[in-house]
Amino acid sequence: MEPKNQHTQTILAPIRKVSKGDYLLWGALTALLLSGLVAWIWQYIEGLGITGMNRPVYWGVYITNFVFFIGLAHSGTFISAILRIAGQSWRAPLTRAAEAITLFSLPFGAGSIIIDMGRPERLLNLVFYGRYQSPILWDVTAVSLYLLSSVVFFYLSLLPDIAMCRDRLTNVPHWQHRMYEILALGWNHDSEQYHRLEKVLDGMAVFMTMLVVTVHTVVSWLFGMTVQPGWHTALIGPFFLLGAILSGTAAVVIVLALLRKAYRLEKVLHNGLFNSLRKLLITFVLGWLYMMIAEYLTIGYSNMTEEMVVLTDKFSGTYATMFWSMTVFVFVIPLLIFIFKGKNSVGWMVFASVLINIGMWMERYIVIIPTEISPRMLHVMGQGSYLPALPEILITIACFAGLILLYAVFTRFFPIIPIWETAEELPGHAHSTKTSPAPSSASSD
Amino acid sequence: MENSQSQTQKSKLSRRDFLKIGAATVVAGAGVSVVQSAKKPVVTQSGSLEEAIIKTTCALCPSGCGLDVRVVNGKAVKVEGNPLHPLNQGVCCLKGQTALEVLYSPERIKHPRIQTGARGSGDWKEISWDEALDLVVDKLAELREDGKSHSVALMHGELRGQMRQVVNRFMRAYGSPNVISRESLGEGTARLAMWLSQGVNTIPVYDINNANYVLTFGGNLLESSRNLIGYLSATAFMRRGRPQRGKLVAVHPRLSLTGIKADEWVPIRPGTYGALALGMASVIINSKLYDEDFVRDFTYGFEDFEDAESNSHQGFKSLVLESYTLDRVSAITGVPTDVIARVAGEFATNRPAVAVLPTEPGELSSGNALHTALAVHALNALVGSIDAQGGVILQRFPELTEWPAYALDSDARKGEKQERLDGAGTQFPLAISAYQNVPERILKGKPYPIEALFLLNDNPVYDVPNGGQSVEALMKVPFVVSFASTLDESAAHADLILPASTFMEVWGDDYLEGTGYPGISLRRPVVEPVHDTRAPGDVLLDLAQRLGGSVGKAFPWNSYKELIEDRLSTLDWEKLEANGNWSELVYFNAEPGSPAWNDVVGRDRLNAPKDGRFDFFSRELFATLAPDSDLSCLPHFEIPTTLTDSTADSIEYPFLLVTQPLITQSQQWQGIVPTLQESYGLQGNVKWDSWVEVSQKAAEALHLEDGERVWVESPINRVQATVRVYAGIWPNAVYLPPGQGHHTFVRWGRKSKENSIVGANPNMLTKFDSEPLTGLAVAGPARVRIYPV
Amino acid sequence: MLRWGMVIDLDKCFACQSCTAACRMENNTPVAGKDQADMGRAILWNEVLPFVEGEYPNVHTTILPRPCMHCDEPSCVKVCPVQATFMNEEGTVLVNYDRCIGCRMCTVACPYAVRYFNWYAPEWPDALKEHLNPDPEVAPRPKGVVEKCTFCVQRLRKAREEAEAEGRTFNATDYTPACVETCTGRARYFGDLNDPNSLVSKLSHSPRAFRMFEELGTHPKVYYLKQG
Ligand SMILES: Nc1nc2c(c(=O)[nH]1)N[C@H]1C(S)=C(S)[C@@H](COP(=O)(O)OP(=O)(O)OC[C@H]3O[C@@H](n4cnc5c(=O)[nH]c(N)nc54)[C@H](O)[C@@H]3O)O[C@H]1N2
Ligand SMILES: Nc1nc2c(c(=O)[nH]1)N[C@H]1C(S)=C(S)[C@@H](COP(=O)(O)OP(=O)(O)OC[C@H]3O[C@@H](n4cnc5c(=O)[nH]c(N)nc54)[C@H](O)[C@@H]3O)O[C@H]1N2
Ligand code: SF4
Ligand code: SF4
Ligand code: SF4
Ligand code: SF4
Ligand code: SF4
Ligand SMILES: [Mo]
Repeated sequence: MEPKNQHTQTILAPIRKVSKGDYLLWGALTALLLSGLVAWIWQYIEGLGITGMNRPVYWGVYITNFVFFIGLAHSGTFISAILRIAGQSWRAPLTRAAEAITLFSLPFGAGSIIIDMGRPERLLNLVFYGRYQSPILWDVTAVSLYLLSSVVFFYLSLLPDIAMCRDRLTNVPHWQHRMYEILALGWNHDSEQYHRLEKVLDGMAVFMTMLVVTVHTVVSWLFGMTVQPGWHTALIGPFFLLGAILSGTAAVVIVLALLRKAYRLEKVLHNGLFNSLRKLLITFVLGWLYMMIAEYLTIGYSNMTEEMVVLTDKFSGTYATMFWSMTVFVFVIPLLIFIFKGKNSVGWMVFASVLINIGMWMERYIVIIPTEISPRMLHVMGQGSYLPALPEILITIACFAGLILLYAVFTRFFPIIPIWETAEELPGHAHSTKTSPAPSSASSD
Repeated sequence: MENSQSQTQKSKLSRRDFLKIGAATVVAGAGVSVVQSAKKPVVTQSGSLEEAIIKTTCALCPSGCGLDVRVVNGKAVKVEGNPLHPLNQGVCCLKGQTALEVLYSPERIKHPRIQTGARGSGDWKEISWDEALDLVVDKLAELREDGKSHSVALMHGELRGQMRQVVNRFMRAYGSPNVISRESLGEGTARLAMWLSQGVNTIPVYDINNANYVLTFGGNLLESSRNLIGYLSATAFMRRGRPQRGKLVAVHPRLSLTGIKADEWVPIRPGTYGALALGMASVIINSKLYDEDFVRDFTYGFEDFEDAESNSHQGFKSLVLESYTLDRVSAITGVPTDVIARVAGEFATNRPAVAVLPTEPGELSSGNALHTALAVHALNALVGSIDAQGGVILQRFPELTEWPAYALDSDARKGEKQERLDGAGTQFPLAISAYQNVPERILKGKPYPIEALFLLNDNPVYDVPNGGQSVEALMKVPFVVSFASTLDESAAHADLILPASTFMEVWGDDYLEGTGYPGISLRRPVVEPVHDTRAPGDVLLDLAQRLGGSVGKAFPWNSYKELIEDRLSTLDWEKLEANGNWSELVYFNAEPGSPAWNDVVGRDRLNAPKDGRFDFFSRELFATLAPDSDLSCLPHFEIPTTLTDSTADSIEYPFLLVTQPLITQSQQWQGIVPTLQESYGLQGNVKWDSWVEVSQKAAEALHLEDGERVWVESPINRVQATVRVYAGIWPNAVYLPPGQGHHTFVRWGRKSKENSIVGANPNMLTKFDSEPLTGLAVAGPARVRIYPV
Repeated sequence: MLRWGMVIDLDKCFACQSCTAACRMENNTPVAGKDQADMGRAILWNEVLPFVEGEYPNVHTTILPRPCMHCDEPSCVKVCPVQATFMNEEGTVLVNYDRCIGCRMCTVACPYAVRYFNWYAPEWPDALKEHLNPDPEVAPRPKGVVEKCTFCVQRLRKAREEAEAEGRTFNATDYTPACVETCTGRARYFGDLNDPNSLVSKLSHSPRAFRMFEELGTHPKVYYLKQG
């Protein structure tokens, strides 16, 4: 017996056929992805010299991307794990869409580290000779654990829906059906199965929440553990974490809006969801602002020489334009929108979220580059400089294209709204507390 | 060079020697490496590596340090200083370190070559040495037969050891007076000043080890002195190696490394050292701080005086007291009066004190070079620092085997009597050479057309471009032969190149200069010639044999090595080979008035008495010039027209151009040594480029940003450079480093453009004239303006 | 146990950069060329750094020759994920070029900016390869790894071999790095910091002695002696 969900058809609709538009989109994205791959091969053959990195700017956009993608990944875990623990049942329709962001951005985050390595073929040295004093090892461990548990978490929550695909989508190509059969692992909507699944997921949610906090803190320690001006602050962990959750949540808004439009899911992804997200975002933006003020005030007030070099560079120097646009993108405009416009307006929300994500990418960049440009030893000799070169741009674009591609393809083969979690009734129990009432009356905007 | 002097002074002697200094350095703690590398086995056999340390003598700057070259399996792989060499005692400067990049440079010319297309077209054909030498001999023989031997000229740069005499001998025996040294661009000034005041024709040596106060006037003591490492270690010793610390004060418009590392930097308006030195003299005399005994007993022309014919003359004292008052000097030089007075006082009261003059009047030789040098040296006389410990001492030379006599045939005698091409001795009565004058004279066909020109270590197209004049002059000479090792800008316009081996591949010698005591440093091949090149010395001997006759007879040696062995046979050859050098290691300071004294003061005078008196009033000049006014015989300073700030020129071209060698610059090889390029401009962190230093004030006025590309333009040309805003420069001066902009195309680094020229040649901006009396180059300071590209 | 250290007397250093060049010639650091040098990618293990302060005419310039500090608490070793950079038993911090994964965490972490990355495979014009030092320790590094001053380990090895060959015991003064040997101002001293009688250890206790960024707790084994 299947879960009962009035929207099952709507949700499964996108999976029934792949349109020409899809192929076009996929083709375009694949092309971008391939161009990045070519750039990487080129970089592998020639050396990192073909990038804009130099001395003292040893880390550039690859590391920026790393931090950014890992941050983006926090959306999923935040929505599905943290909100699950907090018992926020409205989140149910969003969970999978959000988790998919996690799942698909993590490889690009982790990949960015490999792309950044001078000797990627020696990756396994990390295993053979791994050394735990190094923040890199912490990162590697945290990120791989995160990736692994995300996969498990995601897959488990997908299981019942795969089974539904297997059962309902009978006129799909043979291989696709076969895939559902295998992936469903013989799930038969047994109430006992659901019971256990819920339990496991609840357990994992706690674990995942801890991971989320750890992962991004550890990512920040890549910088924080050095004694370089601008990085060496205890605040950097929470700062990074909050930033990650902010950009992740904003990414969910964007994704939801797109899904809703493209797959006509307005009924499932109703406006109310956006409103809830809006409230969250307001909290995060304000929290993030608080962190920023705390951070910069501490540095600025103490007026330490090396720190001030970096700070003035951000406030009024080379990076001033970027810094102030970033604050406008992340803080000023979104806050205005959220307060005055965002309510019931998906368009405005998306606009604000896009700005937040652009801003957050810039924020990552600004945390990394200015410090490197003025290291203690060299800043007196005049500044270093950095501009990403073509391969870095291609690879960055490819990462984003790859993320979108994975997402787009996934949504054509699997239900992006969790059917069982949004079901009115699950086999064996009536747990209306957990499912959202998904008001069929909700109109689209 | 041949003024070999006996060391048998009997008077009260003070002596010190290299070993003592060496010992002191060990005490100071740096001797560790010296002692250790001396112990290195000469040949070791480790695995399949055949290893040896071969001693030779560096030629990358005029110092001539001893080098220990590590040779593994026939390849030279590392250079160290020779610990047994008195000049550098085991250490080595960065140029020496990069010697291997010269030896193995891909830019070297690998075979003799002849230009097949038009000259300067770059169409070359490689030929054999026999063919090449035949071409030269045919030409030389033909010209000689036609009675035109004097129409052959040889221009040369730095020549080492016996080479200078070999060249002179060759040209003299062949029948030409035209051996033209680049000296008038450089060391000529100091040499002339020494001769006209002290009466000895040598470059001064400074006893920094024992000085308490060292005052340099532009001379870049710690970057480009002629005994660079000697002076560097002496300065270190003066600071930290002995109980009393000495003080180093650097007067210069630009804060060079010498200024940075000095105890005090005194910025000064470019080109006005002469006035400053005279102003200081006036302070010292006014406050009676000078060495009255010495001045009274051993100088000439201090007080006003009457000569034998009872004509009264002005003396140095009244001249400086009247004309070089603090206020006036301060106005000319821009140095505040209190600084002038203080430094002068310190100089006079912290004896032994020594005033160091630049050996090179350089681009700032605004027509005042000689008198500036005389004024600076006068300070040394005022404080009794003539051949005294911690003062100016004289370079002595060892006694070598006499050159065998040779007879001049009638052709040679005829040629010898001809006027020199550069006008030295005729147009310029006191000149030894007037290098920068050559292109113009060639073009004018004065004093006669030049039929063949040899370029030996020399590159007039780069050094004195004079707006293309040098190229034109080369093009006008029907037959130009260059001994260049790389395709420098003059060699590019030659007919024939006889590529010279580098100093690492040849036999030769070098006088030890800069220590005072006599000595010789041996140069020997450390590896087989890398290419089909020969030593110019061997080539000249070969040419002489081929020419035969009286020329052939003047050179009874089969090889340059044989010549060296012959000349140096008075020395302990074994020691020479084992240590890489031979020297007496002892300097005897002459006590004023002692018999030895006449050897250090007055020895080389021609027309003035050799009476052991230092001339404040130059009797040599008086005899030569028979002047109307006393001023021309006394150190004095005339404000050059280029310096006055109100002429039309000065308004259009507001900045004065300063250039000055950098320690990271190797005179001949700058264009091809990558490691020098990669550490080129220390203060501004500039590599592989030329930069122009502008003051903060000027940068603000012109809205120039650090790092911006600009044109630096003088009335005759313009060059591009990158702006460096530098606090250490006189506000209306700009600095361009010399030595860049060579056309020896450098292809360094990944995917670098095929033919890249590194930086710009500042000489392009300068119009080189000559001082009427001395033939020394007058080169500026050029006036320039700056504007963004 | 030996503990190698260096002392640089800034009063005797004349910014001649011989140490820079000697280090390059001894350790086979490649020529970067203009384009690369302009990007700051020149590899000079022992750079001489100028710090120009003040305004005309009161300009104060400090010149600092800077090898690796061979910190006793090295930030670089701490952050290296694969132990490619490590401190040997005699306190010298080295890089294992075969293991380095090129993550550049150490370059970012080293407060003294002494670590250099091989952005490309090192290149020399063929002719210039002739003068490369044949000692195995300084074989040109491959692309993608980090390198830095090694206190000329090859010289230590050779000094030990030489002592052995000559049948005497190795003495700390037998070993001199290239930059120390060539220093024109004789401003650089090298030796065993653990031996209280060695020159370096005496000088390191001089009242003029200081270390760069002492406050960072890296405990450099390179000491400077103040100017003046
Ligand atoms: N590292 C390095 N060392 C070198 C060289 C090199 O290229 N690199 N070149 C070598 C050679 S060939 C030479 S000639 C020497 C040059 O070595 P130095 O004699 O030290 O030459 P500069 O440092 O150019 O000093 C010349 C200074 O003379 C001053 N001057 C200006 N006008 C006058 C004037 O009217 N009269 C006098 N007397 N002085 C004036 C200027 O300030 C100018 O800077 O260095 C030798 N040593
Ligand atoms: N702006 C400015 N200009 C200056 C000066 C300055 O201070 N400022 N200084 C002036 C002075 S003093 C000098 S000495 C000149 C130097 O001027 P440079 O241009 O540095 O002259 P060099 O390069 O010494 O000599 C010319 C050529 O001789 C050849 N050569 C060099 N060494 C050897 C060798 O060992 N064997 C052979 N066969 N050939 C060799 C090379 O091909 C070289 O290009 O510059 C003068 N010009
Ligand atoms: S000072 Fe001159 S001679 Fe001595 S090593 Fe340096 S370049 Fe060679
Ligand atoms: S100076 Fe830098 S590279 Fe050297 S040991 Fe210290 S932290 Fe490591
Ligand atoms: S770049 Fe190499 S040496 Fe540096 S931290 Fe990474 S693996 Fe270690
Ligand atoms: S000790 Fe050796 S490796 Fe280190 S800077 Fe000196 S020469 Fe270079
Ligand atoms: S070699 Fe010696 S004097 Fe020259 S820069 Fe280096 S430390 Fe200073
Ligand atoms: Mo010169």
